[in-house]
Amino acid sequence: MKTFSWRGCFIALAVTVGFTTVTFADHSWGGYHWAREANPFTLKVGDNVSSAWDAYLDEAISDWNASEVLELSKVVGTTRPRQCRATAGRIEVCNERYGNTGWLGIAQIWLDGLHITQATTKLNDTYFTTSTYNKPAWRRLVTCQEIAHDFGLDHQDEVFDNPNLGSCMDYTNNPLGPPSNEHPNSHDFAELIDIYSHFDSTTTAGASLPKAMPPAMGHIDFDTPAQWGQLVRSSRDGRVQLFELDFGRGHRVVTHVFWADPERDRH
Amino acid sequence: MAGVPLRARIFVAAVLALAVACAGPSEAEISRDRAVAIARQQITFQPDSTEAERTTLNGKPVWRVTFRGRLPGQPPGLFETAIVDVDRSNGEIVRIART
Repeated sequence: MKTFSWRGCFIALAVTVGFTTVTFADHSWGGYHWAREANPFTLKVGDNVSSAWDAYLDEAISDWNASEVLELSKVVGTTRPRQCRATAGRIEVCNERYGNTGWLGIAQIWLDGLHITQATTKLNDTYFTTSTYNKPAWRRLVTCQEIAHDFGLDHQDEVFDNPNLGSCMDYTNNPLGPPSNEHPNSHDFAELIDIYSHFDSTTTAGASLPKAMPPAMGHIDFDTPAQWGQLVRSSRDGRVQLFELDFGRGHRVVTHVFWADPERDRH
Repeated sequence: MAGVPLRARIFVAAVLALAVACAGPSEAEISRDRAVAIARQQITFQPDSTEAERTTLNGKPVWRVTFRGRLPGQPPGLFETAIVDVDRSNGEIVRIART
């Protein structure tokens, strides 16, 4: 006769919970993320918006700061809204009449591999000054969504005319719902934990842009064969050798060595 | 050559090699079709139009690939846009914009 097993029951429950979490949190934008060495990390958000947008930007920052992995910090912006130029290591948020572009808001990220190095959000007043979109619910949804793209979140759903999911990362024709799509929901925060659960050996949040040449490339002691890297080619007699020291991303130092043979060279 | 010390010869060779490496090899440019294929992997919608142009981003030669498309139920006048900058020398994605 089989007896009730608390242990088996617990394992089954744990597996179910595990699968549930994995199933829900799956709207990372391509795995792109800010490199950082610890959580929570601080990300500066440059305020280049007009007074009509200030409250919405503040609200979006406050909403996302409920996340346990990141801390958004509003700072004075550094760009003209029309250009909305990016600043290394942070997000710049701008509003302007960008024209009939087809988009209410657009987020842009600069990448170094999977790492975001700088980002911008543009909010298009060409639409937000029309009667259709000049509404708090639309402003909240778009501000919330675009700055979230800037730290690596994608849409939860891209069908406009289906029921709302209760997240600003869900496209909708009716931001008010119910449920309202003006703010993040628990799945967004779960996804942020997934995206930022690992740590990097470098930091791009708050950092300057990676230089074209890795700094270490300028600090090689060429007198020391130990710093030449891997031997990749050698002539038959071993007098001509090619070493390669790979810094990644196409940066490498090739050391071509013509070994002296004093005995032979003497003649 | 016989009169030149070994260390000096190695040093000169290493400096020459560094100069060559820093100048970088002349790499072939990836094709437009390849750039579009790389950029296409970054979008989740079915594009109605695809444009690719050669341009530069911070001095780096890129293919700027722009996709536009309509999503189910999308309000009139709005459409989905994604702009992907692909490094012309190695196919790496260096910038993405999305709505």
